[in-house]
Amino acid sequence: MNLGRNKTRLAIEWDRAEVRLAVADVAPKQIKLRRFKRIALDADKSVDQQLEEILRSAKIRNQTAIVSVSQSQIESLNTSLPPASPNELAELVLNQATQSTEISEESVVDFYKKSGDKKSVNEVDVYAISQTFLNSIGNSLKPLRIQLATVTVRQLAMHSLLLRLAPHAIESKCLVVNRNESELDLLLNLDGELAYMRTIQLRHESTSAAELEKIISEIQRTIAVLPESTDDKRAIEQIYVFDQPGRNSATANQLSEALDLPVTVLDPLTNVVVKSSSEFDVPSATALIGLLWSDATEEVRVNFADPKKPPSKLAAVRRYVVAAVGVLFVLGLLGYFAWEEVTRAQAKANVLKKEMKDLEKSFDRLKGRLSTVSSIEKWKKSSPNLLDEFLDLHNRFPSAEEFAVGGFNYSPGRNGIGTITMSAQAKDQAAIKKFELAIRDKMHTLEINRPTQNPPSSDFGWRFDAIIKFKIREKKEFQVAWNEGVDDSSQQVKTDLENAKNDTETKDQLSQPNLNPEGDQ
Amino acid sequence: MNRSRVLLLSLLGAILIYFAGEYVYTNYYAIPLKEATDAERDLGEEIQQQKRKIRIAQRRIEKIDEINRQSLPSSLQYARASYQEFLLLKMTQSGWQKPNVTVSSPKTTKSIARFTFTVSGKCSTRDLVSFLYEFYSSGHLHKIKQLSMNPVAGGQFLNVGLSIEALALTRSSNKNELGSEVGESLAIENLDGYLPIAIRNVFSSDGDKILRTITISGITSNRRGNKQVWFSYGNQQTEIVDVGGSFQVGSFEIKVEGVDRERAQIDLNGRKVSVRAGETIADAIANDAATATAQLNNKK
Repeated sequence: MNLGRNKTRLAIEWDRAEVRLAVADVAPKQIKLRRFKRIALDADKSVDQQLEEILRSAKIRNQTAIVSVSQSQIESLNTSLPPASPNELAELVLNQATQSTEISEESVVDFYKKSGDKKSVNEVDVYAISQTFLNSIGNSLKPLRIQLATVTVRQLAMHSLLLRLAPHAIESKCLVVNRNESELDLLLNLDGELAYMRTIQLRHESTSAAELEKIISEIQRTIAVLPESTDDKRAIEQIYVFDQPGRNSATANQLSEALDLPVTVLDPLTNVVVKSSSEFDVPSATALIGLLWSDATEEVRVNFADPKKPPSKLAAVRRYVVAAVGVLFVLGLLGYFAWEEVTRAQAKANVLKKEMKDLEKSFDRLKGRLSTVSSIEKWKKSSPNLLDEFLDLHNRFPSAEEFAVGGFNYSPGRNGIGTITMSAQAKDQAAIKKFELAIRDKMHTLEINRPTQNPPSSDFGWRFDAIIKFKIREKKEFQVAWNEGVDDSSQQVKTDLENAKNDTETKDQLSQPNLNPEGDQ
Repeated sequence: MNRSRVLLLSLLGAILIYFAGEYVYTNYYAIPLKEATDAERDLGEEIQQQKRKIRIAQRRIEKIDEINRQSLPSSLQYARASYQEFLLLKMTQSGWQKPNVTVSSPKTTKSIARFTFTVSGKCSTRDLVSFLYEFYSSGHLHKIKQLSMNPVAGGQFLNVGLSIEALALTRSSNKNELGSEVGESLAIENLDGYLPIAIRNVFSSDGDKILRTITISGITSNRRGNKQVWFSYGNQQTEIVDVGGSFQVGSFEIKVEGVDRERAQIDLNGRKVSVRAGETIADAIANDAATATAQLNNKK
């Protein structure tokens, strides 16, 4: 797309007698015509053979060329094709062209759609040009570093110019007349479309009147065949002639009178700035100006240098491949992020596993020493502090006149229990009961065996064996017991003692102690 | 290929792609990620637990140094000799007669040697209390496994037999001699706290015999009004005790709590007795008992 910036174009067009060249700066709204040149052709040589030499002589090089060819150098075909999408339409046109006898197989084919779409029948004008001819033009330009950008049909360029200069022609049926040095172009515009075209070779007549007569007769002949050629029965509404306004007004009037139709002269130089007009001639330059406007507005309908083609299978495959690559790329990207996320989580888990193993090793190393500490602590706790235990028992034993110990043995038990066996003497049964009540508590159990009465002469009336089992305590437990329990226990002992005074058969009441190591009674 | 076939194939392809994608997503993303995150969470918790275990273990292991200091010397020979010497010294210092200490061959494991010392001798209850106080006040790795006490001479003395177990660690801080660690296992810090055991002396077979000899021979009052109680007992022995004061006779501690014109209120090993001047303590106790019985009978 041209964004309003000027571009320089070399426009080339020819007929049987001469080549016409124009170098211009083109923009969508204005054309600056810098050079215009007409060079006669050697009738014995073809155009493509002479083109390079002509351009060299004109010292034109390093340009972008747009070329229009005449009707005689192309084949055209009007065809109706089934509803199709643009890509499908190109394929249908090519298929039609290949099968047509009018168009040779080696031709370059381009077309433009006049009407129709995906859902309705397509009316298409097909144009073909010889590939050899096209190549020869390109080859002529190549040595001069001239790039062939456009090759179109001269009549199409002129029709484009008509629509530009007479926009209302888009809704009318009119005839366009343009006369060159040796040719007369007649174009039928039918509602904005080029419906018919005819090029007539002109011989130099002796007088201008004879020449006008010839032109009028050709126009009349053409008008006569139009209804059959176009299937349109409407009468011609208007005749347009490309020329400089006022230059040939008499001729225009004569045409109008002879044909009984209004004749309008269109000025091709509208919005065209001409820098050099030494060889400039409006009718001759009309096709070139139309060509330049088509290029400036990018409205070239047919371009043999870049014809419309159905998308190749390779292109379709390429599109699928690109899409597949895109999808794969996205999937790959997603996969990469997913993989990275999983890998990161796994790596973190592995780091934690390693840390866990290290910690386990550390703990295993500590285990040996911990085992020593544990076993020694356990060993320590299995032994009571006998001095504190003695003091605790001493505080509970009845008074000296009531109670005495005859033998005392301590041995360790299991599960934190110590055992004291003793033989003891008591003044009376009440003293035994007193002893029993004083010893038993949460920490001590007492078993009294074989209470026997001593002889009357003895200081103590009774003797017996006792087994005290006690829970091994730490010093804090003794301290707490002594600080908190002294008053309560002494009160309890006194109360129990009062009750025991009425007991006569102490032995019967000496219950077996509860050996619960927790001391619950 | 007609349109419906293309549609069907596209649908089939879409279904295949869906299931393939689902399979890949599940087996190569969702499951491994869940396993990894679960493992991460579980391992995190396990690591915290393990760290806690290690912290606890380290705190406990810090005691190993203390234990090594408490150990007998790591050399078995020095351990045996030094600890035997320690026991004999403590027995002698406590007043034991004919102290004797023997030791058997140690039982050894990889890191511990276990000695058993057998101690025997004759001592008073006070001597035994003193010895035990010294024993538990020293911070060696030792403990009493067995103890037997048999009174002789009416409980004035005891024939004592002890079986003591002591440990020597191979990593002991003490190489050739016993350490000087102080034991902290006793509930009372000073020896005096344990002397009531000796005073009470539960092994004494005298019973209340001595109480029959203790008589209040007088109650006096000086110019300042301070009253004193005179106790006579045994072989013409006399104790003069102020109110609030006390004295020890045999297994009895007698404390004067109050005095009136003809009676003294005493505390006899925690028992309250009112003794009239000229009366023995034993008679006073008997009278109290008779009075209590009479009161009970009257109540009935």
